[in-house]
Amino acid sequence: MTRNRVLLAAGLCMSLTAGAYAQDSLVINMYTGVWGTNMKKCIFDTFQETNKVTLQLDQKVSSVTYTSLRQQKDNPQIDVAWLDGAESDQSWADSLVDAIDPAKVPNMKHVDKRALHQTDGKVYAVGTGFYATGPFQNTKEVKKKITSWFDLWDPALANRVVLPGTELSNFAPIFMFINKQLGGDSKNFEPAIAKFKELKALSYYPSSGVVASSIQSGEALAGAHYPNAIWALNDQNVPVEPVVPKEGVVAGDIRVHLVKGTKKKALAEKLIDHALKEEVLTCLGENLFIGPPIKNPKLSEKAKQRMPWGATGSLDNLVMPNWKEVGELKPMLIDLWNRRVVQK
Amino acid sequence: MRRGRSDRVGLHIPPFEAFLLLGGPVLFLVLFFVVPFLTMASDSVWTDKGELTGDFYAKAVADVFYWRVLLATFELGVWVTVCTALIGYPLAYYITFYLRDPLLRRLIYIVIVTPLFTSNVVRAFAWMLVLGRQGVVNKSLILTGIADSPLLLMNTRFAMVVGLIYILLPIFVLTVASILQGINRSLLEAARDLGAGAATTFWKVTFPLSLPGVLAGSILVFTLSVSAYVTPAVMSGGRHLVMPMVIFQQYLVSFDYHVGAVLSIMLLVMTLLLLGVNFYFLGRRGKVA
Repeated sequence: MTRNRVLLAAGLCMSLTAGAYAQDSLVINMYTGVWGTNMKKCIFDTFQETNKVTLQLDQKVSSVTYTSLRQQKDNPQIDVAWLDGAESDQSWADSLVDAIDPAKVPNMKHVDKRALHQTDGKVYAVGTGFYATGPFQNTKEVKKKITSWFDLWDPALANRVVLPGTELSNFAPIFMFINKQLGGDSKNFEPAIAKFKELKALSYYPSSGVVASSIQSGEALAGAHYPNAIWALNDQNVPVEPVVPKEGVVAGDIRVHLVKGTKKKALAEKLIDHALKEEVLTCLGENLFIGPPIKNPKLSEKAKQRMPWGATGSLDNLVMPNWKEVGELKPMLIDLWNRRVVQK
Repeated sequence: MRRGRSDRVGLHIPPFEAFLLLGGPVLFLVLFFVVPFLTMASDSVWTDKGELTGDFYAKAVADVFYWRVLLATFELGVWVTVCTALIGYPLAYYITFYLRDPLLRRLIYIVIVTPLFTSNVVRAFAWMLVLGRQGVVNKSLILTGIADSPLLLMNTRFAMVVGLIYILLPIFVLTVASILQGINRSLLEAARDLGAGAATTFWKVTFPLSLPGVLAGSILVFTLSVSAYVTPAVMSGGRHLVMPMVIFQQYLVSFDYHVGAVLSIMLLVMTLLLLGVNFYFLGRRGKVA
């Protein structure tokens, strides 16, 4: 009898705990590395503290999150997901993410219009910070100041230049950007193909970790990378600095999404609203050196100097690709790259 | 005289116990190999609209580019297998026949398997220190006057081969060493007593007896080389392509699961064909010998 009572009590406790866990927990797919660390510090730790909820943080690159969303379409396990531009637009097109209701997420009103991604008046993604990919140079070894993307083709930098590889989300927008600068368009990529065939690159790196090794070891003297990642190396006394070239830097934003079919919609909306608070967006800007999508963010002098648009620019100076077009053209661009540039 | 149960060759296991013993491994294989394989195979023949088609295969098979990439993949596999065997066999031989101290032997085994425990980023950084412009190899070449300026060694096919050998060497050494350890030493002593020199004993007795280990090790190294993604992606610097890199692009960058599945099956079938041809010729050679 006593045994039965103990079992009953244990069962009751377990079901209550499981129920509480299910009610007050969220599964969030966010970024890896230094991005994930700072997102945890600025967004998730503060949300957990104030709301007493459990957050399961899955650190994944954007493409893997998109694949997971696709696989779980009929029974989503993820509640909130951060995605890059191309995957964000694709997720909306595939009905993997839901429209975000401004009434449920009132902090959306602070956000710059360029970070509200919408179709037919329905906002499906909100940018939580603008990042960029731009040139950088080793300040000790490269004497000539880089002022243009095309300085990377300087023979003096032969076999010392690194650029994002096809695995990375900034590969396609950079390829399209260079093509446009050379007079090409979305139907003609010959100018970029011809130009990249000429480039004597050290590598087209597959991950941020690998390029960091190349730069730290002094193998790579110039190239294109995230300015905030270059500043992180600079803080470790590696003599590198990002450059804002005359053509501008290619930008994007890290976007938050409400997963379609989430069983915890109210809590997920509450988290998104929290992520869009001015102090949270400023915290991300301060720690990740990404541009907060709000007016006059209160950033330190150091962070202001390190914004993706450079020390003197603003959000207006960023070159925003058409991510929908990037997503649509990406498979064809990778195919062209493989056939025409890699296997010359 | 009737033979008792204990005289029977092999171990008799009652069906229920056999089921229990095999159930786990079979379930594991079904869950983690058969189901994913069938999912992938279905992606290669079913369209998104649920229609059966052979178009994905027709397009991939007719495309010379994919065959070129496949050829480059197998070339890499052959280079890695041959070089690993040439480095790994003497190492396994030395550990088995010359290293008497068990403690030292264990230490050597630990050193051999250490590459398997290091992360890819650490490995990439280490290779830059060895093969980079300022690396040990280039400095030595310049110091000895062999080269005037640093050679481009990183992000080349050579670097891909070196990177894979580094990771796959432990697998080859451990496979061959386990076979060498099982060789009956009295056979070697008999050969010596009958007047064979050290080289003749090795080529006529030790090496033929160790061939099953060489074959098993080579198959493991070859199949792991042609299916490796991370090391080729890091060591090629995106300047050379092998099939796993193209498959990765299709699945996780272009999100074209159909072409990704077709290329995966092409790689699997061609690898099995190559191994089959290899087994056939080795079998014939064995019969002739």
